[in-house]
Amino acid sequence: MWTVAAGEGAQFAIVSRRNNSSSQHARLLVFGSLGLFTLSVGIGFALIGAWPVMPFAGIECVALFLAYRWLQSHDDDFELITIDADHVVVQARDGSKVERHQLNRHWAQVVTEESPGGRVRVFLRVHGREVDFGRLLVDDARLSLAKRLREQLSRPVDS
Amino acid sequence: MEAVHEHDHGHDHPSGIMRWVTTTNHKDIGTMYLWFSFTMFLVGGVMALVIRAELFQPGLQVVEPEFFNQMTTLHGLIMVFGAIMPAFVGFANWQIPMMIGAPDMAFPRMNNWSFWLLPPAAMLLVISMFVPGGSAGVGWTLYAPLTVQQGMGMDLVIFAVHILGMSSIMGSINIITTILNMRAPGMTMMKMPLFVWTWLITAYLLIAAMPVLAGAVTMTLTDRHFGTNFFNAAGGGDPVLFQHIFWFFGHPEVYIIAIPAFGVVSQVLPAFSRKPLFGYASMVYATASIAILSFLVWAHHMYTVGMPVEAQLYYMFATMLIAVPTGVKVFNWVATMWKGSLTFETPMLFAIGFLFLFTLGGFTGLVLSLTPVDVQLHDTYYVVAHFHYVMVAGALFSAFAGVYFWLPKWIGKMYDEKLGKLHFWLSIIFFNVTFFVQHFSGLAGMPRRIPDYALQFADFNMISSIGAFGFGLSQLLFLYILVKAIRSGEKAPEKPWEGADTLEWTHLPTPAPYHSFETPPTVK
Repeated sequence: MWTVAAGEGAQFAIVSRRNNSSSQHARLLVFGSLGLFTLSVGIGFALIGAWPVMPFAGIECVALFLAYRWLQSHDDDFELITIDADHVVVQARDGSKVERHQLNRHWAQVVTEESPGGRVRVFLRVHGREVDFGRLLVDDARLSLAKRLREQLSRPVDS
Repeated sequence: MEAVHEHDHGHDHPSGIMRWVTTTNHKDIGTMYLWFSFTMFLVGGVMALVIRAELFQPGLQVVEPEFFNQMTTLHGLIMVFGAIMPAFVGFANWQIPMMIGAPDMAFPRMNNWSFWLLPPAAMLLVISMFVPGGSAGVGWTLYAPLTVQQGMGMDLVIFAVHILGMSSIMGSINIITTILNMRAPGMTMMKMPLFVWTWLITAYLLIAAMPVLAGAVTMTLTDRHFGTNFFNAAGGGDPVLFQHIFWFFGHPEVYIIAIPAFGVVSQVLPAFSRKPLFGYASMVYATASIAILSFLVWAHHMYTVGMPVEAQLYYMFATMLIAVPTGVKVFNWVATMWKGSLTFETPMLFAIGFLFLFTLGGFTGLVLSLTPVDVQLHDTYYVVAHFHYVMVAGALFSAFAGVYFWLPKWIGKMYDEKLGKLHFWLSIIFFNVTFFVQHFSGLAGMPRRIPDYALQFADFNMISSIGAFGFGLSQLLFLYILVKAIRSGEKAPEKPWEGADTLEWTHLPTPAPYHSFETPPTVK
């Protein structure tokens, strides 16, 4: 999670994004080579009569493909929260889904909830409307962010 | 830009049974893997003691031969799939994210599923003993056509193997993705700790080998129940085909167990030598070479089945070739210690124990790679001794080294050093009492997987059984040490091992917080 310089009009902006340490090319190479090897082994055994290896090799290739595709589609995921004089804006990208929520700053409440399994949910609530944030963060970081947002929202508007 | 580093320590991590059922935290899941593995180690260990009790004297005293066969089968399967593999997956879960500066594994929910598939599979293996006809008595290699003649216990074993395979594949995809995509800025591939490298290579092996095992047991199942004849010679099938398929999986499996063990030792030895690992790059390349070669040598398990001389020569030389990268690794470990400022705490003792005994196991492997010798020694106790030197003294000792090394980081408390050392000495002495003599039994011709034997082998077997009971009891001491450390261990210093220099020691407090590296560290 990184704090970014607030843009024009915004008093506070914070963005969280994934830390992707591999390039798309590297991922293709790794997952592709694995899939290719697995398929070759499956085909090799099918040719000597042990064809039931093939469906399992196929299932595994599908699993590898899904993992690869998930990584690719979530490469640019981010969440940006900005606060200006009147609004709190939460913008997020989750795969192909892009969302933008604009809330009234003066009524916005930061709420934290702990689910029975122990996971922490943090969201902004305005007039009964709830907008989750901190999706890309672990629980402690989500709580830290909630604390910072609360502090920001409690500051006088003109500061 | 300013990084946010604050931790909210006011938020305690969840508790209760649901914490463990629903957890997606890599540390929780690592802990569950390790305890599961230890439980299965004790279950498999009791089975080993049943075997050794029967073999204490010639003749049949303790169990029926059928049950003896079931014990050898389940002991092998449980130790390989239930104890050793999950132990290293436990290490991977705990350590990989912390070592590469990631907050968790790439697919945390899948990580939870990977673990929770294991207990049902383990239960299937164990309850297969109680179904009519008992469990499979075919050996862990599940050779056809014997598998076709078994009772319904065999089906439970097949189902268990399928589930274990699913768990392994999900775990492997998770590990590869985590290592590939979640390294901290600056953590290039050639800066990764060797433990991480070894797991990356192991995950490759698992992904490549597991569908083959799944296919093999599926064919066994259809031969048993659906009228196919893949391995039934009477129906036009070929039982030798099963052996080829099984060992195409089975030989890489040996390295799936050994390579993460190499990784643990490669972290422990430099830490207690207070020197960087000698020849880091060559260690990476040697590990990768071993992994590649492991797919090219499977038929050295099948010399006695019959194969052309050219094939025998190929498999013999290819197998001997593995000694080259393995030799590089052993040389580098020794060179790491050379002129180091050595201290001999328990993790270091186990790592050195690993080095001695694994090298011995490697040498006997080299002996067995020679076709004419292997034809004499095949299916004798020499082979049993060889693979226990690799699996127990190799993988298990390395796992002990890893537990003692990282325990302070995991729980924030120290284990009892005196008891740890006692555990090491008891383990290494009783291990050798158990297995060293088996070389002699094997050389004298004692076959494996038999409940009774000729009188000439009586002394060696008696010694071996005494050693086995001693070794088994020593592991209860390990349990005591763990419980004592968790309940009343002294508070661990921030960095109990002076020479440890990976991220979990340099960038995280002790014990490691429930959530670590919420923002990735920068590695220089």
